[in-house]
Amino acid sequence: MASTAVSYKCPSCDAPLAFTPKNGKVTCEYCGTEFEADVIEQLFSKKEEEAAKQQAAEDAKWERRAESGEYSQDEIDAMRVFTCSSCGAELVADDNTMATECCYCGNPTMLPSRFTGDIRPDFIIPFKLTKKDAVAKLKEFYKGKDLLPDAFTANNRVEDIQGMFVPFWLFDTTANASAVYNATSDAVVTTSDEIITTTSHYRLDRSATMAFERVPADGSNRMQDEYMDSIEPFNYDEMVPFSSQYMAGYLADKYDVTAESVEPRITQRIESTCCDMLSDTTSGWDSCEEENHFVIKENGTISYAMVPVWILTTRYQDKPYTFMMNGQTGKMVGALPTDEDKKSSFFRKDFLMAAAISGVLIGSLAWMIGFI
Amino acid sequence: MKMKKIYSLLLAFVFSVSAICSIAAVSPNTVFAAPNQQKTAQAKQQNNSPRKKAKIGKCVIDQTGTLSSSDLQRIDNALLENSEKSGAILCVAILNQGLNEKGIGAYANNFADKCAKSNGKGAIVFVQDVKSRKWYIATDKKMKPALGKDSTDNKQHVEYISTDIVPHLKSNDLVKAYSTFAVKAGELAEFYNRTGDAMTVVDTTIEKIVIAIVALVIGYLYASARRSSRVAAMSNVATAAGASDYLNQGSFSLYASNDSFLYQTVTVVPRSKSDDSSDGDMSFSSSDGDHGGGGGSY
Repeated sequence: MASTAVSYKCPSCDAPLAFTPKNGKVTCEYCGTEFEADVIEQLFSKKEEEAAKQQAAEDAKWERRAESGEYSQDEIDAMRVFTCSSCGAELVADDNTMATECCYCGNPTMLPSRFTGDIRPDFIIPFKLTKKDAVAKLKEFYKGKDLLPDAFTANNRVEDIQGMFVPFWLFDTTANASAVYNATSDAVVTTSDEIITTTSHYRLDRSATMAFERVPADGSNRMQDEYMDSIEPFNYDEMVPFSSQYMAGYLADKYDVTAESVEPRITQRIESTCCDMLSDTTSGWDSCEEENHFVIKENGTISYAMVPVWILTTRYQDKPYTFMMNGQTGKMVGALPTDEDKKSSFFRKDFLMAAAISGVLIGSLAWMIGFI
Repeated sequence: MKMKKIYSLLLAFVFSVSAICSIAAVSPNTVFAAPNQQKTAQAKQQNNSPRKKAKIGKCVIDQTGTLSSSDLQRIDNALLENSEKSGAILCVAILNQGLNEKGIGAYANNFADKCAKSNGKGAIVFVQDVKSRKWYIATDKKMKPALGKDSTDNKQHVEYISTDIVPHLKSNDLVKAYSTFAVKAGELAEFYNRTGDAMTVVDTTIEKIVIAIVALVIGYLYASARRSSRVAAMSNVATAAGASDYLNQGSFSLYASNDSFLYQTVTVVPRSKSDDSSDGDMSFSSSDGDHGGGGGSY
C-alpha cells in the first residue's frame, strides 16, 4: 500500500535528507551526499503524487472513524492521520501541516496533499541561516538590554528551536492616491509698535500613482501578526518558485487565513505609505494639514509564498518566552522580561547623575553671568 | 567727645570749602565740566528761577537751597550717626547743574576724595543732580573694596544702596532718601572695616532653590526618558504601519499638483515694551582704580 506521506531519504544510504542553507543543496546527514534541488524534485515528485492520492483514499476511512464518536467534530476537522513512508508509523498532523518529522524515526516527512493543486504555494524563500545562527542571534539580541534579569541570561537554555516555513500572502498593486491639504503661508512684518502677520490660506490637491510589490501578510492563525510584521522585510531577490525540497528538515504549515481576510491590513499599510508619499510633496508651507485622501488599488494580484522563520522558545520563572528570527535575513524579534529592581536602580542612578551634572552646569553658568 | 568735635569741625571745614567753591563757580565740577556748559547752565538758572542760597550742613551740601533747616539737620544727624558707627565718612551733595553721566561721576569721585582726605578715613558719598535727574554713589580708594572686588560686585553694592533711595528721590522726599543712604552705606562701610571684606548684599537663596529645582526636574526628565528607552529596548515586536519597504521607488508618479489660493487673514499683535531698568538699577559708572561706585537716573 502506498504511503500518505513522503519521507525525503537519501537514495544511496536511506538516511534522512535535509536542506542545507549554506550551499543551497539537499544533503544526506549520514553519508554527506549532496543533491541539487531539481534532482530531488524529480526523485520525489512521483512519490508525492502517489501519497496525495493515497491520502484522498485515507480521508474516506477517517470519515468513518469519525462516526464512531471517539473524537469531537472539531478534533476530527483539525486532525489527519498519515503513514510515515520510512518506518510505517501513523503520524497525526493537523489540517495545515505541510512538512513535519516523524516522531518515531525522525525522518523529514512531507504531506503532499497540503501543497498540491490550488493550494500549492507560488514561491518559497529558502532558509539561509541555520539553527546555530539562530542561537547566536538570540544571544546577540540579549546584549545591551540593561533591564534583562541576570538570572534570565545566566540560566537561560533554549528549550526548543524549530525551523518553520510560514505561509504568507504577497500583494502586488498599483495605487492611485489623491489627497487634499489645507496649507498656510505666513508673512510677518514687525514695526516699532506691532507685529503684523499676514496668513495666506491655500488648498493643495495632490494625485499620484505608485506601485507596491509583494506587500506581505502572514496567512497563519498560529503566528502572531505583530511578530510576523516585525520580522520583515524579506529579500525577494532570493525567492524561488515553490519546491518542496526546500522544506526538507523543517516544519511547514499551509495557510489557514485567507488572502481576503488579511486584505484590510494590507490596504491600511498601503494607504499609510501613499499618504506619506503625497505629504512629502507639500513641503515649504508654514502649516499643512490633510483634509481627506482616497486610495484606489488597481491591477491587484496575490501570490502565496512560504517564508523561513526560526522559532526559539525559552523559559524564565515558569513563563515561556518566544522569539522569532527571519530565516533569511537574521532579524530577531521578541519581548524580553524586565527586572523591576534594575529598572528602579537605573532610574535612581540616572536621576542623581543628571540632576548633579545639570545643577553644577546651571550653577556655574548662573555664577558666570552674575545670576547668583 | 573730643574726637567727635574734631571730626565735626573737620567735616564742616571740608563742606564749607566745597560750598564756597561751588557758589563761586569753582566747585569740583568746574574741573570736569566744559566752560560753555557751565555758562549755559548758569544763564538758564538766572533766567528761569531766582537763585536760592546754598545750604551747607556738616555732611551735606545743598546747592539748590531747597532743604529746610530742619531737614538739613535731620539728614546731617543721620549721616553723622552712621559715619561714627561705620568708621567711614558719609556725605551727600545736592546739585543743580545738569551734569551728564560722566560729569556727575567725576564730580562724585572728586567729592569722595576730598571728604576722605580731610581725616584719613574712607568715604562714601551720594551726589544728586536735580536738574539732570541723575544720581551717583562714589567711594574713595580706601572704601572702594567695601563695594566688592570687581565690577559685578560694585554694581550689586551700588544697587543695594540705591534701590530704596531712588523711589524717595522720585517723590522728592530727600530726608528719607538720605537717611536710607546713611543707613545702607554705613552698613557696608562698617562691615568692611570690621571684616576687611565686602558685605554680601545679594540674597541668592531663592536663585539657588530655583537652580536646584530646575536640576531636579532635568534629572527626572532625563531619568524618565532613559527608563522609557530601556523598557522599549526590551521588545521589538510591533505592528507594521506602512508598506514603504515594498514601494517600487521608480514607480511614484505625481500627475496632479495644484495649489489654490483661498483667502488671507491678518493678525496684529502689539509689541510689548520692556522696561529698561527698575528703580535703583545702576546704569553707568565712572569707577576707576581709585574709586568705586556707579549711578543712574530717577
